[in-house]
Amino acid sequence: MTDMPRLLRAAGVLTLLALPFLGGTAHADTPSPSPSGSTATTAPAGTTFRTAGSLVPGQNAQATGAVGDYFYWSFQAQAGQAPTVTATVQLPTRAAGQGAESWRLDLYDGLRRAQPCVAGSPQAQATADAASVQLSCTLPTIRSWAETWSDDPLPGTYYIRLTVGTLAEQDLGLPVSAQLTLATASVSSVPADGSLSTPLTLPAGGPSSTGAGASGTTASASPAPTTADAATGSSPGFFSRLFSGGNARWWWTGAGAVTASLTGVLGFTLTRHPRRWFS
Amino acid sequence: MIILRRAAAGTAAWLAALALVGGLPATAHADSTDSTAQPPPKVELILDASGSMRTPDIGGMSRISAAQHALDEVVDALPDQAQVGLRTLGATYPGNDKAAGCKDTQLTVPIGPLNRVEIKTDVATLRPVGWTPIGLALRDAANDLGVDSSSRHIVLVTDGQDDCAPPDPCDVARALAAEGTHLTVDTLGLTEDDKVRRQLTCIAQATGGTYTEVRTEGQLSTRLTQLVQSGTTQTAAPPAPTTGTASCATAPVLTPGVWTDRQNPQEEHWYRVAVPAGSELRASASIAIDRTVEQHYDITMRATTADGRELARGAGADSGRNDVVSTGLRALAPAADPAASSAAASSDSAAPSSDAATPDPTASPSADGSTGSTGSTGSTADSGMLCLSVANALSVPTAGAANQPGFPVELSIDVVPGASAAGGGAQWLGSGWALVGLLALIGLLSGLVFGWLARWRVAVWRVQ
Repeated sequence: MTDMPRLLRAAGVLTLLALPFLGGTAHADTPSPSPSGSTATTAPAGTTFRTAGSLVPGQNAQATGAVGDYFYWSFQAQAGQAPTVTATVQLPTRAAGQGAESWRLDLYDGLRRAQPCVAGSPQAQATADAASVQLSCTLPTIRSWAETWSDDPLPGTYYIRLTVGTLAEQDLGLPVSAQLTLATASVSSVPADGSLSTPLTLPAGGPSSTGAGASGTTASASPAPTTADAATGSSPGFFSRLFSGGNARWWWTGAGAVTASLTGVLGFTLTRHPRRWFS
Repeated sequence: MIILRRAAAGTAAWLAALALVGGLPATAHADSTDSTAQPPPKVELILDASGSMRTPDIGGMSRISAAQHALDEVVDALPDQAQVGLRTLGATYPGNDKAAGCKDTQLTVPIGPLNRVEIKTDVATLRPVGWTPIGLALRDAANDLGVDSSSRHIVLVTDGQDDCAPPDPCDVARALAAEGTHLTVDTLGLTEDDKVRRQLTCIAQATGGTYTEVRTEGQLSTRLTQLVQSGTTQTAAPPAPTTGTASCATAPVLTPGVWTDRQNPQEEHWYRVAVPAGSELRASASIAIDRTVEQHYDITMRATTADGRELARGAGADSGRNDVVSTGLRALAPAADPAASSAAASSDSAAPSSDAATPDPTASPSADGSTGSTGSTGSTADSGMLCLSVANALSVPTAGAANQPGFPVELSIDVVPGASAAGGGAQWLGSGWALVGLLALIGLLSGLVFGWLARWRVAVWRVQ
């Protein structure tokens, strides 16, 4: 009967070894659920990029205003997410015989560059007797890094603008309200090919006279090692860069080697002294 | 047993280490919020008390009494420290003399901490009698608000067209918005008249405000409260003014933050930003469309080195009804040659010292003047600088006077450390749990093989 504990322990060690891999794959497969906080208060809309109402995933946003207003919201998105914005516009009752009204949903990234919608209907026509219009837009999956000259979506702030396009003049100024929701689906298989130093978010206020915020980080951006590196080709900067940023390959490979040696020893002892384990 | 326990403990330790490494946090930067002392936002209400306000078409109520009720509710809903003033137009002169009637606007309640009783009494005693000098009232209201760096809102409640034009109130509003920063006029129309709607929409568009058509007293008070409340809670520091030039060499130096400029149709403006080598410039430009323009329009932004090499370009185009057309770019400052490192350092020190209001007049003229026009020193002084150009392709249908003042441009500048590509120096190594698992499996298998080999050798040795 004394064999059983040994066997169990051996099995336990093996499970322990295998756990991280099981855990790792399980983690990657399940999309992280976006918080569906219906209890959160509704976010009011702003009227410009700088005064945009801030929104978190799962939160409902509410806009009340007049036809012709520009409603702005902003939200933060991380790499690997594909945010979807859905808006419902409650139209005012309009005089009969007027033409269709076109509503549209525009999305911009942190640098106010227009973003495409990979799914959804960001523009919709409302006929004269329609009571509401439904709009939606799904952003492309956000990458963790991109070349500076590319337009790829990057982590940071995103702006939503909801407004009316073409319309009959008589419709301007009529009361209108809109509900907007933001959902973020997480895509597990996003290539981690780098990282930004800071998310793509622009300063909201005027230039600070103290210059402590942005200029301070600028000064500490280590321009000196970069220039020295470019000149000599080898410097302490080379080695420090191996472990910096998102580049953890050294740690992964090293840990893999250690695990391999441990399991090697385990395998050796299993066959060399099997009585310690199985008798 | 001891070996086993040790092995188990060791494994656990390594697993913990692995978990730590695997969970290495991605760069998480909290953006710093600087809370600088800011003058409080101000709101001035302009209430039309011209003769036509007597018309009883707001749900059976006269327009003026609907406005009076709504104002009472607004005043009750506001917080005590809200800076709100009230101006009336057409409230005192009942005669037919246009010259006198068109000067009829008074500041009834000066802007200051809310005085509910005073506002309510003044509103209640209003009798609509006179003319509608909207343009003059707007100009006076802008004077009341002053030109300090706070955000300024005017809420105009009216039912009529300006019968004192010229000046056209729409042009007045545009000119006022160009004089200071951050002036917004929201308009509320108490009539369904097409001409009035056109005029009020034009005023709102000229300043980035909103236009609302009101048909019931409830709508009026709800909307008025919303506008005044959002006006008194604007806290973002307003942008600093600057003026771009036609070429990069003389361009103003911008520090990180938000700037505004004015740009005529089809114009290009240059700016400079100090960006250390290897750092990333992030810039965004938006042009507000504050008047009627031709159907299609666009904005282009380019970042170049001091000697004109283009690093990045952003373009934004749109058509139809819009409030703003915008674009942005990221540009990586090229690694400077060793000789220029001192220049980069000097530009670093210059960047924070350049004042917000003055576009750093000392930067390039003094450098050119003091060093005596040697070309090499000129280029090193510029090597820490990136040039930024903003150009628009907006067309105004009626050329000439409609071009003035220029379109408002908003520029947001940020300088951040450069992004790191995963390339790094260790691309030949692997990462991920699959790799660790594979290596562990290989280790286990080779351990088993060697173990069996050892057993077999011992067995052979014993036999011999």
